[in-house]
Amino acid sequence: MADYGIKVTKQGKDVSSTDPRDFTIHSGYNMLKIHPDYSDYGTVTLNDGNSHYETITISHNFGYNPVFLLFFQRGDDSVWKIPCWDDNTLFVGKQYTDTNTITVHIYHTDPGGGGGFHADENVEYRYFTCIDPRDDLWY
Amino acid sequence: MTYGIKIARPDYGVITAEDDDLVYSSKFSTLSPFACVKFTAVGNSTHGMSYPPAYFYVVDYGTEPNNKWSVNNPPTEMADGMFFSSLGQPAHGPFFGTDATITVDSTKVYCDDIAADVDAIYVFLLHEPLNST
Repeated sequence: MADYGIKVTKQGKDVSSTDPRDFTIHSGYNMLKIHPDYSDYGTVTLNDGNSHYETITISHNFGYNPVFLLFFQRGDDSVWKIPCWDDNTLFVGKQYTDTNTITVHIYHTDPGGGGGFHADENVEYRYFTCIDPRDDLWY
Repeated sequence: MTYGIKIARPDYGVITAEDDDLVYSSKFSTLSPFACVKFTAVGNSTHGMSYPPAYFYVVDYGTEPNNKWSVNNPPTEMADGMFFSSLGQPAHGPFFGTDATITVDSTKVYCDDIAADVDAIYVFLLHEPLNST
């Protein structure tokens, strides 16, 4: 197949440039594409009646592990965060359970097994699943 | 009528390419940054959007250790109850550390914590909103 494609440069840059930083679109390089069917919002309620963690399951059925971004906001907090151990009272982690499923665990206690449940709260979450594979992501 | 723009990766036909073999498709939003904020100390910066934006960040450790950079360095859960820190070392429970705490709300991006061996943190703010309203 002939070598052809599309290039769009930033203002002031020449399309003949060989520097990828000069382009907003370059068909020689991939762009991460958000799949709307597997990108969503939600809320989980953590309380003493729950397991030590709550599970969010995203079944995308891509057959490969996609690029995935996750954010969360605690009920008593005004800011959004990426998965982390937060204030020693909550841990948000993600797994690629298999090539068709992403699992998010929101721990309400010490995931190492120590300590008890912490105060009841709601946790909002937002995730973006890209159509692009995490492994062998081409450039 | 279905219409839009598709750009296939090199050597793939745009008609037959699967979605993951497309460089671009107007069917999907892209993760496009609108700003990059640099922190060298704890602080905050007004981002100018009316909503909390999605983001990622890159940690610059300078010349030590070995000119390494790290992305979104809080740990990742590899299996139930097993976590790996940003530098790939097994970590468990509260014994891992993070080198930065970056958060956003509808007006600002915050750097609430930054480790002593970090030279700078570059936060890329994306157009995608985190809230549902």
